[in-house]
Amino acid sequence: MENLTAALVVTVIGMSVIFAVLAILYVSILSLERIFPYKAPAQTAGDDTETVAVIQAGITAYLKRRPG
Amino acid sequence: MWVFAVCYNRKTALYAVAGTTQKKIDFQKSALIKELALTISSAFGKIFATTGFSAIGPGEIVMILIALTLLYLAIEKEFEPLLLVPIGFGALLANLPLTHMMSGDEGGLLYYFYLGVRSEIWPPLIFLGVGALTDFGPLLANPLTLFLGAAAQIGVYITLVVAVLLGFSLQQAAAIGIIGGADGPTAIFLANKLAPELLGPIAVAAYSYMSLVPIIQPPIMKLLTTEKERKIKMEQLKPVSRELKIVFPIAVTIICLLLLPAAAPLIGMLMLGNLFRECGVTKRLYETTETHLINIVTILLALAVGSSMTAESFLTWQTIKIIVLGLFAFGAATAGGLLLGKLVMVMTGGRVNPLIGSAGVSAVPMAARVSQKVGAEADPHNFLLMHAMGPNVAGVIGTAVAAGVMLALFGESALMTPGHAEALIGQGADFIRSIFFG
Repeated sequence: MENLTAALVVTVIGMSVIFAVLAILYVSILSLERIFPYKAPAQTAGDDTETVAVIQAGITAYLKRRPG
Repeated sequence: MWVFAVCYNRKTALYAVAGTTQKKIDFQKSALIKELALTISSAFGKIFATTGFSAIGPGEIVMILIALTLLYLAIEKEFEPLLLVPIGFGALLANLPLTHMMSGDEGGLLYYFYLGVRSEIWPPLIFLGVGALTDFGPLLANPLTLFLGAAAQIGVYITLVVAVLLGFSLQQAAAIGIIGGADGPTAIFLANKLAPELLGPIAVAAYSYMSLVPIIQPPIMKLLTTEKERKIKMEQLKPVSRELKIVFPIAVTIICLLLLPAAAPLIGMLMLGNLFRECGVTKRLYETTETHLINIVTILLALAVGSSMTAESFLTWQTIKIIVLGLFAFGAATAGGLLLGKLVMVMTGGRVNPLIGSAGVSAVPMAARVSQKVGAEADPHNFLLMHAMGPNVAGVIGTAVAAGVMLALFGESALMTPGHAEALIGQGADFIRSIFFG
C-alpha cells in the first residue's frame, strides 16, 4: 500500500515535471523563433534569368564592337 | 620312431611352452588393454569434463533456444536486426557453459563489454549518435507537438503503478515503466541505475517491442480515432532558420539540465550529437558520430546486454511479468499520445491529425512511419510523416526527462521513499485546504 501511494505520487510529480519542462522548451522555441526568424535565401544574379539575359546581351554587344 | 617321438614330445613341449607364453601374453595383453581402456576412458572423461556438455543444464538449454529465437526473429523476420543479432549472439555466448565469457576473474571478453553498461558509457554514446541522426526541424516548425511527446510518457507512469501492484519494488517498477518510452538506450541506462538485476529482460522487452511498433500501434490508433479524424490533412510545415537549429540543442541542454541535472548523460550527449549535425563546422565529427561511432557502440552495447541474459537472471517469473508489462507500457503510451492528439485537434479547430500523437513514443522513426501508414490507409493523399516526426523527436526528449525524474526520485540520493510520499500527500492536502478554507 505504501509503495502504491508512492507510485501514484511519482506519477503526478513525473508527468507534471515532464509537461513543465516541455512547456518551458515550447516558450523558448517561440522566443528563439522571433530572434532567429527564417529568411528566404537572397536571389543571386544566377537565379534571375532576366538579369542573366541582359548581361549576356551586353557582353555580346561589347564583343561585336571590339576591334579585332 | 624315437626321432618322431622326440620330435613329437619337443613339439608338444614347445607347444606347451608356447601355450603358457601365449597365455601369459594374452593375460598381459588383456591387462594392458584394460589399463589402456582405463587410461583412454579417464582421458576422455577428463576431456568431457572440459567440454560444455558436462556443465550444461536445462536452464542453459532453454536460454540457448531463446538466443536462437532472437537470432531467427532478427534474421528471418527482420525485427530490429541491428540490435537483436548482437543481443541474441551475446546471449548464446553467455549461456554456452565453461566459456567464461562473463567471468571477471578469468578475463571474460563480454565481462569487459558489460563494464561499459555498468559504468554508463555505452547508452550516452548511443545518444550522441542518435542526436547526430535526428533532425529537430519538424519539432521546431510546429513546437506544439512537444506536448504530444510529453503525453505519451503517461505509459511510463501507468506501468510503474501496475508494476508496483504486481509486487515489484519502486526502483524495479520505475525501470520497467521506462520501457513505455520506447527508447532502448534510456531503458538500459535507467535499468542499470535502478534495477541492474532486471537489465536483461528490460532490454529485450524494450527492443523487441520497438521492433513490433508497426504491429502494436495500428489497432490502438484505429480504436481511438474515427475514420474522419484519420483523414485530416495537415498544412505543410514552415521552414526553420539555420540559426534556430543551431541554438536549439544548446538551449535544451541549458534548460533541461538546470531543471534535471540527473538527465545530463542522456540529454547532454543527445544535444551534442545534434549540435555536430547542425553547426556546419564539425563535418568530420558529425559523419563519424552518425555512422561509425554509433555502429561500434551498438555492437558493444547489444553484446553486453545479450550477455546479461543468463539462465539464473532471465528464467524467472519476473521476466514474464516484465514482458507483459512492456507490452502494456507501449499500448498505454500510444493511447496517451493519441488522446492528447485528439485534444489538440479540437483546440486547433481540426487542423491537427490526432494520429501524429501516437508517434510521441520515441521509437524514431518507426512510430512516425506508422502514423503515416495509418493516415494513408484512410486517405492515400494524406502525408503525415514529417508532421509525426515532431512528436517523435519530442518523445526522445520526453523519455530522457522521464528518466531524469526517476533518477532524481529513486536514484542514489533517493528523494522518494514510501514515508516521503505520504508526507508529500499530507503537505499537498494541507496546501489545498489552506487555499480553499483559509
